Amino acid sequence: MIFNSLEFLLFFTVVTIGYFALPYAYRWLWLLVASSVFYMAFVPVYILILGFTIVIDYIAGIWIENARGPARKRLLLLSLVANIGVLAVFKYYNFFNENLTGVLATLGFANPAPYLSILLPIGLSFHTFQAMSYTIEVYQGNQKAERHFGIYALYVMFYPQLVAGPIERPQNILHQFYEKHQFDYQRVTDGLKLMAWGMFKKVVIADQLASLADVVYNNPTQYTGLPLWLATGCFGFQIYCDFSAYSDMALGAAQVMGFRLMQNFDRPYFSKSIAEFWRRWHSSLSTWFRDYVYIPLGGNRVSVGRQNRNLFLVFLLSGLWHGASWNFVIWGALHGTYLVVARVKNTLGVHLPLPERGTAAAHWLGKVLRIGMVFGLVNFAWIFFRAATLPHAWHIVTHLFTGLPEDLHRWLIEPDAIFIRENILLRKSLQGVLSTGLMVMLMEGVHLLQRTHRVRTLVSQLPALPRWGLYYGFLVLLFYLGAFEVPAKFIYFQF
Amino acid sequence: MTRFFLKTALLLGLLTATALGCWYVANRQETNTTNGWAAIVNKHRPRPTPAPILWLVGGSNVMFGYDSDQLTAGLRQPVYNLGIGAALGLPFMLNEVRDVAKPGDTVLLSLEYDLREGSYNVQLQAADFYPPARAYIHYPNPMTWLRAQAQYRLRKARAGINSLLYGWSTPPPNPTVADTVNVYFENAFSNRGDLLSHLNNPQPPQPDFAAPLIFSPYRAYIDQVNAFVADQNRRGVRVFFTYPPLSQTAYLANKPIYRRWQHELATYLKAPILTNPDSTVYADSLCFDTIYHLNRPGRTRHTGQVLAALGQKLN
Repeated sequence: MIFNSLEFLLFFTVVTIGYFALPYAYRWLWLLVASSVFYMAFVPVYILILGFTIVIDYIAGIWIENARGPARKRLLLLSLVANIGVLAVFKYYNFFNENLTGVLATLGFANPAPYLSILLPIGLSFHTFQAMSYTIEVYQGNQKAERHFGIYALYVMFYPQLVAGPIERPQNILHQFYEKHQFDYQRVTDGLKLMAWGMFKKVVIADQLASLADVVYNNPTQYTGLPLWLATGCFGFQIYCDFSAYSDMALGAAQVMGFRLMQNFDRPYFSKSIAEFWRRWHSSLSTWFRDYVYIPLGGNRVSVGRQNRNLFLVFLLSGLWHGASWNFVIWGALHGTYLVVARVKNTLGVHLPLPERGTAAAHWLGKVLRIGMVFGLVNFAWIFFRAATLPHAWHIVTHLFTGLPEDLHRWLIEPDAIFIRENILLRKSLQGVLSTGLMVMLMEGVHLLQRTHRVRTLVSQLPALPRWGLYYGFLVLLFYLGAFEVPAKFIYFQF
Repeated sequence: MTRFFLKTALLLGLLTATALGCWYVANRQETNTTNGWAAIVNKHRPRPTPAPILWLVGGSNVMFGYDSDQLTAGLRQPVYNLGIGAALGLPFMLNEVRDVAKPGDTVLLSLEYDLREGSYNVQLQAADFYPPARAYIHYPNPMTWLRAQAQYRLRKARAGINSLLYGWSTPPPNPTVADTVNVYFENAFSNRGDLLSHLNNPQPPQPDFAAPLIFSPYRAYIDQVNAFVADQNRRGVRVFFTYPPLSQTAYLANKPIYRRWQHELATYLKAPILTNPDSTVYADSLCFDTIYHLNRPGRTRHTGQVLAALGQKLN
């Protein structure tokens, strides 16, 4: 059941009405049942894996709290091994096995380990990481072990963020399951507006851009130059709109019922450095790695060399978290490299020759150039993230400039209908490409406005007629331009 | 909470009114003459024909591939061609012929190799032109019904908005069988349901007939056909199967895949198979615009072959 489906619309309506209609005492049970139904709508049997980690971590949490001395650490390790073990079997086993086969083959040996024919449970990395954050926080003494098994299960399974985050911390969400949420008009409508905005980003922008990016990325060896740039740019916006849309809808659905989830995105493509990008992009994962990997490795207290090594390591792990393939590892390594290079540059006091001081125009230009540079670097890394195989990614990287001057020349000087259609419009209709482009601009316009205003507040302050006109127009636009024919899954579901 | 529900109802009311307006505009724009799926009206025109009838059933391979007059003369029994397009899907086609076949009739199934559920959008479009066809649409569960309806209405509303945005387009002149351009429209058919419009058209450029195919098992659909065969045989309706006409290039390019489908059909289908799979493969020069569509000489040849096989079974 995906957020952009009719099934979810019905599910959400029934669950929300049921939630407010039931007495407080039964609401946790209602949400737990609803979350189970939501998860089982994908592959029912995989709820057993979820159940396994829930039982292990629930017991581990209580035992860790009760234990003293080194036993606490052993219990934490036991819980982590169980969680990582599930990940290792379902997500990484075949990847490592494949690589082992390759290595052994070069040495002239056969790999006796069998290939497992299993489907990756949806959202496995998300709920496993959320479960691990619980036992770690209990171990660190920041969170009391949850005694109510149902509430703990709900912490892991809460349906809005179960399959694609945000990866919550127990301190933020567990206590909310004990709160008595009443129906609050403002909160409910704010939540619904956030869901509508997320839906807009998903079906009007991400799914439309997907069809542009897919033309090239499904068969990249057919292309060189300009189409590769365009498809990569399209994917850059597609993945942002897709993933942030899921987060918006998760936050909105939770907000309607009175729950406050953590922000996962904050206009990341306006970042002026890669470090800033990672504070604004999927921050629930970045902070997870910061708190549970980078800081335990020494954080900023160790030598600069070790800091850089640890930072690189964290991003390698982050790449591997996304997917069991070398493409993701390289994507993580690229981001790690960007960050380490930026740190070294700052340590050495090297500054890029960008206009930063002087007139307001120069300052503005400097900002724009920085934002453009970060956007370019992030998009370069997306090539490895999106390409189906490493050879595909390599083809794209090595052919980005092949024929590019000629492509640009033809585009600007000798417009040719077939060339425009095949290479600029990527075989889509001009009308479709233009409307998607306009919607991306509309979204970025809203993002610019968000720098100084809370857009939902601005809208709610409008007089009734224009406000209703805006809501009405927005919904008509959503239904008119949205890709509802075959609801497309969210990209991050695969992780 | 009352305020919330009142405002929600008002907004939903506004959107519903907009949708109704858009459907009205879309319906005014759409005419039977320009929409190929409206052919279903023609196919179900009442005909004072005595039983027994031979019904030709399948996707567009049937409407392109048969000369029902030739079959009628050869078999000395009336023949009607129900074929329109594979997008109507197997359940729709089987329900359609279930509705019209009477005891003593014969059904000849000529199903495209990859004929599956079809498209609800196309089925609902056909049902808009011919309302009894609503009963031919198969919905496995209420959710599927709801989704199909929602998507179809949404698509129609979008068509209405497009009409408003881009102006009332001037409808093209009514296509006729005599013209040498149009192929798919309501009255493109003979009284027996065969497509006529393409017969005097110049040969159009053919797309890549060698495009690769992906095999997916057909067993579940064969089971649907078997249930239909058993049901019709109980009613006294005989059912035969023939392999569909197919372009040689397409066949050779994907032979292992066609072979697997043919093997499934030969193994599991419980209807007598009239033809040999290789015998319904025709040179590209006998094809019209797709791998399943025959031109005039192709049609004559295919009809002759099926006539010979059917003649032995029926007489």
